[in-house]
Amino acid sequence: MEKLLVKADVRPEVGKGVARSLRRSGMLPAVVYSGGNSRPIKVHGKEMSKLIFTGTGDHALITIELHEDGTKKSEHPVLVKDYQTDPVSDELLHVDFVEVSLKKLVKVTVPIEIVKEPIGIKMGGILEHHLRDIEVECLPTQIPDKIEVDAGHIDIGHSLHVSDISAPEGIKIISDPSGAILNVSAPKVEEVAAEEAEGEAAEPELVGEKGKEEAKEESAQEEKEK
Amino acid sequence: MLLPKKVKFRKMQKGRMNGKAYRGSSVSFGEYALKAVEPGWVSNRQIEAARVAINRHAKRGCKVWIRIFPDKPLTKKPAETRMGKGKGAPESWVAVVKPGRILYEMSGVNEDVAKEALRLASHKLSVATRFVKRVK
Repeated sequence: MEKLLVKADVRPEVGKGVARSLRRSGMLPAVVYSGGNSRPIKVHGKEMSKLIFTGTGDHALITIELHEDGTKKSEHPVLVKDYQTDPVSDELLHVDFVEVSLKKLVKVTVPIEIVKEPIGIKMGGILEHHLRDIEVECLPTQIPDKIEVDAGHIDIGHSLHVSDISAPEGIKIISDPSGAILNVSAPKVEEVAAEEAEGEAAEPELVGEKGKEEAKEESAQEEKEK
Repeated sequence: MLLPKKVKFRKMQKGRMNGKAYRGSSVSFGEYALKAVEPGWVSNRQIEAARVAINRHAKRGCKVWIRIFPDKPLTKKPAETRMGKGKGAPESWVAVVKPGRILYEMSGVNEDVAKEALRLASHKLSVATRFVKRVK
């Protein structure tokens, strides 16, 4: 994995007004956690988006080159802990970095890549993905870009599990081994006529209506007895 | 057509659709999706029409997820009725959609087929939408 370097500046001002003006100027507000403290920083917006959305930046080790007061410069090995996006435009709004020790094991989520198309798909089956990434434990310097899985032998009605993955050296898979990564299901024939026949006439049942009706019946019986 | 099995109240107030959809705004199940970019009500008939459009275009081998559910009843007064005399009778069911909400997701087809299927589906809906892909 190549070394990812991100230039950042310390951000003395905080708050939504400052964050918005930063975004307007093409920068991105971010924060670095280290040793129980958090430090507001700003990074280049486009560079960070490219790294997270198209690169491996969301799980790879990143080195932040932090500039303080325009003179001091320090390097921090970090991982992306979390990021926020705008729900409509999908633009990156904020990134949380966590500083890591290069000698301690870390838990990261790594994407799974299917290298061969399952044989069941060629026979008309439908591929259903259940797990697209997997949690692994390794040294920050050994985090893989992706974990490749051969699914070529998966037939209709069969599935591939986490236990079928052979982890590369130095990497321990900590996701549930019984978790299904994918399965190939038989194609379904769509029921058209039956559904359309139902029409609009159906009205949902009211919660508690049954109870009310029973109570009414009981009161009517009591009146009769009187 | 989609509608609730059981409800607590037959009629509901109009409500407001302020803000963006922070929940249900990312592609969770499939590869490609249709995202709403404006607020609106989507009726169960529209949801069904769009689903049929997707399935007709994509044909076999595709899986479709509907990410909205019409759980809001709309009422309507009969024609040529004077105002007053209470709220009208329940007429249809709608899903409240805010900008950013994922409406449909699909997988098992290539991007061109998904794009065209979701474009056809978008013409059945009463809100403006955008084609989106899963972020890795």
